[in-house]
Amino acid sequence: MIQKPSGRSHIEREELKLNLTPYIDFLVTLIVFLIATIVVAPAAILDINLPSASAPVVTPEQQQEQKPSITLTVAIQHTGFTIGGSGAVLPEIPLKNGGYDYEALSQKLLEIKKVYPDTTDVILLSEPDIKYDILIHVMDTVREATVTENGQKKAVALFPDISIGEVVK
Amino acid sequence: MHKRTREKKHTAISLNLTPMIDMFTILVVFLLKSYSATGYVGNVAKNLRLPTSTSRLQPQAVLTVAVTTKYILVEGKEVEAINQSDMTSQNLMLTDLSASLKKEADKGLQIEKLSNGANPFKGEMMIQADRSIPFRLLEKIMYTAGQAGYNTINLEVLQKTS
Repeated sequence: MIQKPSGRSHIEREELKLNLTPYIDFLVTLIVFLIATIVVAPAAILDINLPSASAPVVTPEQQQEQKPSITLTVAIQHTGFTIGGSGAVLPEIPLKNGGYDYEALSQKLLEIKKVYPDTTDVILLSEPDIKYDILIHVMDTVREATVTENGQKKAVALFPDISIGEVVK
Repeated sequence: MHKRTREKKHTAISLNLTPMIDMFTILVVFLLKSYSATGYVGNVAKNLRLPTSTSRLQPQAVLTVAVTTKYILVEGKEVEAINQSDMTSQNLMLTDLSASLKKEADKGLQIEKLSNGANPFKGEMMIQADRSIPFRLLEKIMYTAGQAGYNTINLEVLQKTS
């Protein structure tokens, strides 16, 4: 038979206990706060090059030494995208279902990348009232393309050095 | 019988919390460490919706210029209200923004001077712009920043969750 503990010793044991509840509350709150701030802000940045005030001076000798490369431009217009390079202009990629056809642009740029694998820079031209969201989307499309290879999606770098400017009419 | 259940209840209340607190403390220390290590805490103004992008470049703690649909803010302080004439005029300079950026650039140059080049002024800044602003406004801000000595400009975006 177990004897009932005496009342006195019971009180003594009670006194030794530390009340940890507020501390645990605080820790839980802090952990939740820290985890929330880390997960919720997945910010990233896009690098851009400012169009320089003066055009880079390239002497004819330098031009001959260079590997086949082009000065690629992608213009965002109200009617669609226009890809141009070294004087030549490809036919416009028109709007599709009222929105810009990013997939067609991606396909065209992949073809160009195959011909000029060393070219990494592109000039992005935009009409003055194109929305920022569209501009960022085009920058993404120009930077890299997603290709499906053996059933697996893979990101391929296209032209990551982007300069931006305004469409000159 | 009645006595026994009471005894049981009593032991159930005194839970051994020490391992849990240990774990919590370690977790807090770890989270606090990684918190400060990122160096940049995404602080985006209210009613500013950043565009999403596939970019994975990590933002750095540099001068931030936020552009909402109504105001331009430098380091969280309103410096210029956006009016309709800004959108249409051909003048690329935004005077109030320019003054504010010049002040920030001067501060950066002063720090460079006082630290004997240990903290050089790199002219880096980051633009947090609302996804609905027109290209014309972005162009103006970039032009103004370039004139004030900020030549390395990054655009802040939200990572697209694929």
